[in-house]
Amino acid sequence: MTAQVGGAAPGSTPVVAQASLQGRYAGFASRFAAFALDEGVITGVFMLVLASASFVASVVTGKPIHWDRSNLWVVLAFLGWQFLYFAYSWGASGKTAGMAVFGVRVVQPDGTYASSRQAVVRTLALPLSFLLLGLGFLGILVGGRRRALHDVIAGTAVVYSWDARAARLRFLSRS
Amino acid sequence: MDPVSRLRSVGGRLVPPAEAVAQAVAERAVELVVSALDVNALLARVDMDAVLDEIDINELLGRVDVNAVLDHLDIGSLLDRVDLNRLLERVDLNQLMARLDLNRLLANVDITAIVQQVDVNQIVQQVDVDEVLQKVDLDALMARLDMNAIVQRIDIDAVIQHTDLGAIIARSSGGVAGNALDVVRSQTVGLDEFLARWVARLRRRPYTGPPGPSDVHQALEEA
Repeated sequence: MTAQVGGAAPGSTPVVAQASLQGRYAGFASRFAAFALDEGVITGVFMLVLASASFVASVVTGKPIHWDRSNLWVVLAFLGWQFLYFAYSWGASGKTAGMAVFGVRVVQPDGTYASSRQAVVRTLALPLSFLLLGLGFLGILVGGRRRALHDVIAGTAVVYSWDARAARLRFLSRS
Repeated sequence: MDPVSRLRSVGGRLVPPAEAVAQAVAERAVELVVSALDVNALLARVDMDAVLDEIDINELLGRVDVNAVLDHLDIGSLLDRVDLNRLLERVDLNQLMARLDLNRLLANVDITAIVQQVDVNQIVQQVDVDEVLQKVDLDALMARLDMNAIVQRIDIDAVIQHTDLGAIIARSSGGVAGNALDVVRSQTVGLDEFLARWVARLRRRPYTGPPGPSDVHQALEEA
């Protein structure tokens, strides 16, 4: 199945299938879906690690230990884990697990990999886009290069790394 | 009158008739002798080898002016009389070719000069390539090819650059997870475009598809 892009007449080959989309600026839905998946992964892994640590601590100390979100250390650990997850992923490969699933990646404006410094800056600037009542993400919808506030600050962009045309051909070969 | 003079005048009158009679008699005698002769028997008695041994052929030929003889010969008319086909039928070409030292012959031939005189294009136009190819034993030809050497000459990188890898990947077998991923991505991209189209409509601007600089696209492909 291939998504239909604006301008495609009914019955004709969708634009997405005609172009590979690789290197095109990624849209809001893909980026948001990737971010949501990343948050799910981050939270899931953190909860798993937290539960495991609680169990180990309970066994070691012999006392029942319950860590939850009200604990400052837990909050700090969660924020640190998030920072580590995003900064390392963007610096190492340009994409997190969620971005890999949805076929998008962080690049420099010239298309090369984002540097480690840019990855760190982007991670630190990411909360700003939320703190401004979500206005930081408006650039994805209205900007020419679909850049959010943290992209502008870090000097990065997000593009599709997924070959839509190959997907279309795979679909045709299976049908 | 002098008696000697008288005798001379008488002799002068008698000699011509007598000579004529003698000539007729001699001719008749020769004719009778020749008819009586068995020439074949006579030749059979002749030892030709001994006769030829006595003749110095080289000296004889040395006296002959060959050039003068050839000047008088009309070679063209002579050749016209020759039936070459009949002549060639009697020649064993295989035996003749076996005697030829082709390498020595070719060493004296300026192949380059000959080739330069040949209009290859004209020759090729007259060649029925299909017919020629039908006669070629491709299996035997391929068996003589060193495929490894040929493959080593190929610039694999250049070939890959000109190959539509997307189409090749499409033919390769993909798992269920890959199929699901394609579906999820396609749906999400569709949603991207839906939102972008509506935003463009609200801003009263035309929307022509997802933007993207070509340099980003190229860099991604190279990566």
